[in-house]
Amino acid sequence: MIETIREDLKLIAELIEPECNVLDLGCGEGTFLHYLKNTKRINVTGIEINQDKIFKCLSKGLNVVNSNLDEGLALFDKSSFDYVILNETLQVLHHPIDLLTEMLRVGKTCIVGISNFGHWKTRIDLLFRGHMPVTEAFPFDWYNTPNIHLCTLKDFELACRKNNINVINKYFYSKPPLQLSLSDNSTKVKVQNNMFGFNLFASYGVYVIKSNSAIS
Amino acid sequence: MENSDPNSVGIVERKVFSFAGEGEDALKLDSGKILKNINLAYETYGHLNDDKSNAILILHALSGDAHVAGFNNSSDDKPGWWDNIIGPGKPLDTKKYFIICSNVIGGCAGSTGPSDINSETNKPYGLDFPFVTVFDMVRAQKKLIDNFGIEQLLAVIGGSMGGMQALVWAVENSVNVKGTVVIASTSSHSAQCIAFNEVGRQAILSDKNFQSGAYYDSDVTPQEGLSVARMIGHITYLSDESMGEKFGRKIQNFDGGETKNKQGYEYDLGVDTVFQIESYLRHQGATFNKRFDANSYLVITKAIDHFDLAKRYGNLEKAFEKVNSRVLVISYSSDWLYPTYHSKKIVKSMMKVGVDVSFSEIRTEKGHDAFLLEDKYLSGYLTAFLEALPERN
Repeated sequence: MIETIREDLKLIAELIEPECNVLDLGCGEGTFLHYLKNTKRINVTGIEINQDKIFKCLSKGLNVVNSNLDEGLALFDKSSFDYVILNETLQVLHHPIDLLTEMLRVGKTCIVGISNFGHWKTRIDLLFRGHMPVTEAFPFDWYNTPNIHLCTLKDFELACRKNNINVINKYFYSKPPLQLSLSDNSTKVKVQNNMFGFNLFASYGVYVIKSNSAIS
Repeated sequence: MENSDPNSVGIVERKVFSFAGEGEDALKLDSGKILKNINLAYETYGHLNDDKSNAILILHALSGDAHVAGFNNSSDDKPGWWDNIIGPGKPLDTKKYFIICSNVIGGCAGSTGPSDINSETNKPYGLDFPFVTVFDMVRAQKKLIDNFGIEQLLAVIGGSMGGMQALVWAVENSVNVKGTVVIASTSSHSAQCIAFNEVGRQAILSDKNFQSGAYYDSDVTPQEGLSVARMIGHITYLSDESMGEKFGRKIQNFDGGETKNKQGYEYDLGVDTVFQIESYLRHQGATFNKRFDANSYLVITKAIDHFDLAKRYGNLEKAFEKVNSRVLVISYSSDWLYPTYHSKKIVKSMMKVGVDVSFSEIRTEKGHDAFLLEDKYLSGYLTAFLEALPERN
């Protein structure tokens, strides 16, 4: 049985060629990896910290490693994966740049999906309401959010430039992933490489990145 | 007791598979020597299905045996060593799977070992028992599985020394295994592991009753040496934290009573007032004597000290290139006998050569022996891993 998956994951899946190998950081219950494995014959490995979620991965026949992403990817060799994916996880890490560096060491190409803290809705919350933003993309109160390194899409791009990370491609969505329903065709999702005012209007972005050394 | 428990396999019988007898091929060992008239003890639980596709082989640790679940008779007060894992409705569900637990050659729990009669001398082997490797143990087990007519095991599962055997199954009999689970184990002993085993062996060898291993017809046996060996071994199976929690600095007399001394300790060396941990270890040593043979302890500790997959194949990657099965490796955070880095080495090498491997370190303060204890995570891992195996091609 092949599950239907969210629009944002469908996009990521489309970015990946069949029959390659993929490492998914923070793979959860393995729904996405299972989809990749079954639809594109991709060799998949997931990393997950929650043991109950790992059980779900194992029972789907997936390879999964129980690990804390903040401890790096020492188990994996340089360039041992065609793609390394980090979706909706960057902002919960203690050392986000360290992990990006590790991803780029282990993966030939990396795909990072992040929610945009610069979206107009979050700006309104802080500017007019005087509250820490609580939106569809960031649905937490300040005291219980797992996100500890919030950033806007612009911030992410700036961090990439500063750290010698090349953005090969980028895709923006006007709605956050959780609002992208499974088979809702009425939801118009904007996917484009250059979106006017993206840092204000995009709720979520997907970046394809490589290290500078990998490109030269 | 066992009849009232719907999750117990109930009364089970130890069976013995005999091979390499008259007119049959002898078992050729790694050492070049041969072993004839071999007995291999085993137990089974559940039913083998028609296409023989639901068999799981369980492999035990250094001091374990084939009695992994249920009771051998109705007066047993303790069930088999992994009864919390094996039984109807348990992670290794005997309603679904046919479970085989095999003993090892060189041991003393029903399989051919140093206490058996050497047909050439008509005396017990003793120290003349040939050197046995973990590979030899698996060779004998392969005969048992062949005898069942099982072409492919759904899984081989082992902890500690059992994990070494599971690795050998996955490497040497790769087409015969669909899934491999390696728990709290290693691809080779560290110097520290060998060091502890050597202390144990020296305790046995220096016991005045050892008699060069020829003590079977004697009134006295190297009980004290074997006890000390067991005590030192047992320390490595626990952890600082688990010992602290269980025993702390509590004191009692060796007869088990609380000390009468108000301060709770004695300075008189002649008075056998002991810390509870001392009493516990002495008890472990004493009970071990009832079920284990000193020569077997030498044979088996030598086998695991010399186990070295990397050396045998050139390096670990070369060893694991042959692996076909899906593999699950589990370590325990407080295991200082085979710390997690041992497992990670296995996992890393397997990943390099494209083995379908999964890995988890279970957080616990229980030390190496944690794999024998009831644990929802180990249960969860085994259940989930086995669930997807039948579909694997």
